[in-house]
Amino acid sequence: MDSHLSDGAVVPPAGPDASARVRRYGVATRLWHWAFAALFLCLLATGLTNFWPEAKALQAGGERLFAWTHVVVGFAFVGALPLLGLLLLLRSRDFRADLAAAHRVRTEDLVWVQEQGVRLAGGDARPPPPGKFNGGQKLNAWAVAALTAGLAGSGVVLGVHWVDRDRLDLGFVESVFPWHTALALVAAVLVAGHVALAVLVPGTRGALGGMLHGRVSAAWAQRHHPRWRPPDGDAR
Amino acid sequence: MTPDAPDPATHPPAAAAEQVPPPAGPDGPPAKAAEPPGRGWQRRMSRAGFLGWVAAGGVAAWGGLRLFDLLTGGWRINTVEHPRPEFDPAAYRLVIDGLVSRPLVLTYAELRALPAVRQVSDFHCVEGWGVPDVGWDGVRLQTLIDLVAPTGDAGFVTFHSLGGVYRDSLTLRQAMLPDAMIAYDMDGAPLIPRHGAPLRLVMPRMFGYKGPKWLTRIEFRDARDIGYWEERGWEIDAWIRT
Repeated sequence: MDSHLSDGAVVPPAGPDASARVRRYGVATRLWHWAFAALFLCLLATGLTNFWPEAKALQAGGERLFAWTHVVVGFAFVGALPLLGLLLLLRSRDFRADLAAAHRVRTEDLVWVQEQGVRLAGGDARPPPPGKFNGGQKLNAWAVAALTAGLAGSGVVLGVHWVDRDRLDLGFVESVFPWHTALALVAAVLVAGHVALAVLVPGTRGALGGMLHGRVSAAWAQRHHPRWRPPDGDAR
Repeated sequence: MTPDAPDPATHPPAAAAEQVPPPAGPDGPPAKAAEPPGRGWQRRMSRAGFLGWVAAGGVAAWGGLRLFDLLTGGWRINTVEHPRPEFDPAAYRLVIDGLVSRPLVLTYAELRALPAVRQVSDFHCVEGWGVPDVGWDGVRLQTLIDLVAPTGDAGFVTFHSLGGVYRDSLTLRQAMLPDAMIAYDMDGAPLIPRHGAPLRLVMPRMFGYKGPKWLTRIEFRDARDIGYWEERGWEIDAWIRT
């Protein structure tokens, strides 16, 4: 409830609306986020067992548990998730708006990232006030898009090779493998940072509720996204 | 950036302690939105500056990949022997037995004293990764076959790992191929534990699972042993075809 206070700032109650909630994400956006996150985390976790031979060797029914899971979930990721995305794009105006806003990078977003970096380094900087998404969130959105494209593309090559190793040229497959690994390691760092900001860091974890139940405190929204106008009259 | 201080309500200062409460009016906090960004912000980061940051990120990612490659040599480690078999140079023996006229037990020193060969070949894992130009030093299987003289019944060779779990087999004809060898050195240095110290089978035209690591016994047989992964459905003759 008081998450907007937890970054240490002494913020007096802002009038009668101090505990008001505003609607941040609709069902479609949340469904997309969590479906994407569940499959992505599953792929990341099973894929990272490549660096842990004892876990990698675990078997179930004569198959390597994590390798098999990775391939099956991987094909679900590239097969089913785009269908869900398409469905949500067609059915939900809120989802379309969120997706567009999260990827719309303007100069002030880049400045926000730079100023926020200076500020975190202890310098004197004033990040321009963001709208619904700040520059860091937009860069995250693009980084996720780029990493997903790279991982899905390379993953399909490796998955096809897994199913039928005589189909693709081995030199091609082996040239793709290190990129899949490198992108996954970058993604692991990005996901770890994303989860830390959402759950651990006091100044930013006020955003988590928006992705869980769809609402954030109005004071938090005003403080972190001053130029965002939440939908009127919906403070459920 | 303009030299005069911006309106603190729309442009919050850096220090959290100086934070003023949001300008919540009777219409609620969101009603009063900040003014749109001015041209001043655009001067703070040039296009070249941004591209510089992007380039720095790319270089860092590429450097990380190179570092990762440097640390692992491009190898991923696959093993089903837990804990990893220990190689004790004093206690280690390579046993060559089965359907042979002259069974042989070699110490590590005797193994290294056998006529040696060097092979540079690409390593291919069935998972889709590979390591090019691996240098192997060791002994051709043909050399061992000449030493132990298999009997007429011997048509197959089984290779056993120190841990007692992993094994795989070749036909005698496959074992007599000129590039079939057992290797004690990799890229000029003795095999390290995770690469199968002290000895591994190298069969460069088959996928890597045909090459048991931590090799301790070579057994000549009249019937084919099904290897560890082949019991789980993988191909017995893992020739690389593409």
